[in-house]
Amino acid sequence: MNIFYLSYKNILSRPLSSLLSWLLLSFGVCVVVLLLLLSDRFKDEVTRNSAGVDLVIGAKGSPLQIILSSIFHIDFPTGNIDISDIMPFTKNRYIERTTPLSLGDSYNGYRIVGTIQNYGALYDAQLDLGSWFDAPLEAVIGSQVASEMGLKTGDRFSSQHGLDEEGDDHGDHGFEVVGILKSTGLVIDRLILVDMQSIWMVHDHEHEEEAETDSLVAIPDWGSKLSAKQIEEHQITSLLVKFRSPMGAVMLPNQVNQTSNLQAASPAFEASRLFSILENVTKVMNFLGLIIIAISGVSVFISLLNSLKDRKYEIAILRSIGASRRLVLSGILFEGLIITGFGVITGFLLGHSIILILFKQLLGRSAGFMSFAPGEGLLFIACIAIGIFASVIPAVMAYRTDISKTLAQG
Amino acid sequence: MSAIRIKSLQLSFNAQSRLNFPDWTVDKQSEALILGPSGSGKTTLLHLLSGLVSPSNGEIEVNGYKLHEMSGRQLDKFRKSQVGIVFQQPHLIKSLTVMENLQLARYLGDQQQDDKWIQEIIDHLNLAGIKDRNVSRISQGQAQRVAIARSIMNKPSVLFGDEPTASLDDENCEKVIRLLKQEAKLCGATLIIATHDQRVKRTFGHQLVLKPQQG
Repeated sequence: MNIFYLSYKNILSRPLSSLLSWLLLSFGVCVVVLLLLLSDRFKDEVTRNSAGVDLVIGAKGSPLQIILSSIFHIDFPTGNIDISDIMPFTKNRYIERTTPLSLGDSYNGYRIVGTIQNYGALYDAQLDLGSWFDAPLEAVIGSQVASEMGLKTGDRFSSQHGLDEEGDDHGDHGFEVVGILKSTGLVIDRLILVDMQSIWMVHDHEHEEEAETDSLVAIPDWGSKLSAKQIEEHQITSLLVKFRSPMGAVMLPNQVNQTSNLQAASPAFEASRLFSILENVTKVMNFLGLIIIAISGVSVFISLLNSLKDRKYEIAILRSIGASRRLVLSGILFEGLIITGFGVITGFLLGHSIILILFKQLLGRSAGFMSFAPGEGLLFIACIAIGIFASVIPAVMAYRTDISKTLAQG
Repeated sequence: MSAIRIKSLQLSFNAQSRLNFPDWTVDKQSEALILGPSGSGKTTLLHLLSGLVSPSNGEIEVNGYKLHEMSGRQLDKFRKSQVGIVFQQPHLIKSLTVMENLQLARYLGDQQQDDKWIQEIIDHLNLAGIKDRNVSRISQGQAQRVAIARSIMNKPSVLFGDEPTASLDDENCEKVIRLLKQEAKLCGATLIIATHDQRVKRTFGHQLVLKPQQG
């Protein structure tokens, strides 16, 4: 028996109003925690996935869409671009490195990316098993593709046209898994990487003609050689660009956009545009969450005040037995703090659990239950402060109870 | 040394209204009544004697404690160790069980939980059957017995009753008085009861009669 136990029993003795305060606070905290975590994880996700890319060159259309499809592999590509159009950018003095992407095919919902070996280096992706693709129809798969589809090196699969699971099979053009990447926590975990030329082969539905050696054009940047015919006829989806100098950011976008069919999109710029769109939504939701937390503070206050009216005599009795003013004060403070404490903790647990489930569902990996976003500490302190604030007036009222008068009225 | 000694005791509520009390002495371990109609200051005198309120003038001494000289915090301590009070209404802590109400009194009195003592009181006052029941689900008579048990939980040296029988029928009235006397004896406490209940009058020899006072 002690004052905490009494506070705890007093909370249980008014279950409905305690439940209301607790629910309100849990819900409010959950909303704010969710927003904090989402925007933090989202920014982190965006930053890490676009780390190696300064500019993306794609077909004319929405720059945001180019970024979403070529960096995050979520939206559909804007269209294709001719290799001949982008050739100038493979040897440009502002550019350190370019990586071509050919999108549009998939296998059971996992996107197949026609590219070059360097794509892996862009994301620091290391091979876990096997080797990089070296010939057409060889594939290197991300760790998640491997684990979820149960694919091993040496396994074969055929791609589907389109990016969803309902696409037509490309039939007899079976890919062979030659390598599996280590897990990176990036989008690449969910991709199937193949040589760019494999994509053309699958789509041409005709056997690739033997390239005439004398007409081959070397593209050192890609570490490969293409025939003049290929450069003339074939297309890719986009080109990932890494600048050699900051001047690239100034010069290149204009240069690209002047080429009739091309559009330059900056991941950093598009990401910050996306953030600012989301920021407004976040602000409103955050405001809502904070209001709910404030209401829960008021509900704790009212609930304590109401119960105090009924318990005036009880408090006088406690004092008459020998309880000091301070003990009575701390008892009431504890009541407020127990409710807020519980509300905050369940709110945090709920918020983190939802993020965990969301990440598992959407990205297929764990988000780290115990990793906190900046601002969560502040939220915790603010909630406890609200709890103290809500219970301090009732507690002081209890502190001031005139025992003799109260008992005489009884 | 006497258990209670009051001298020229006076309590002012404001400039116009104040209560004066006659000088009075009560021997240790005896029983005494404070009689008088309502408004005569019976309850106030009990509150003064139990240190719930401090006098404006005069002296008040309970078992050697000079209450008129003590601070609020010292009075809290005095109540913990020396005083037990039974009120007209039991006023138990509603969120707790019978047993927990008794344990709470021990806790507030800064006493170790003494299961043997609690058990003795429970048996004495015939509360064994309801000790784990929430106090909102026991009868009025049972509640008054729990209130008596609570008042002697810390073995007080003075046991006060403020109209403890006013809301009881004859049978229960007699029972409560008998129990109060019995439990006071058990603790070796002086028993002081303030009442206007005529039924109680004949069982007490020592009496202080307060006259109605003008405000």
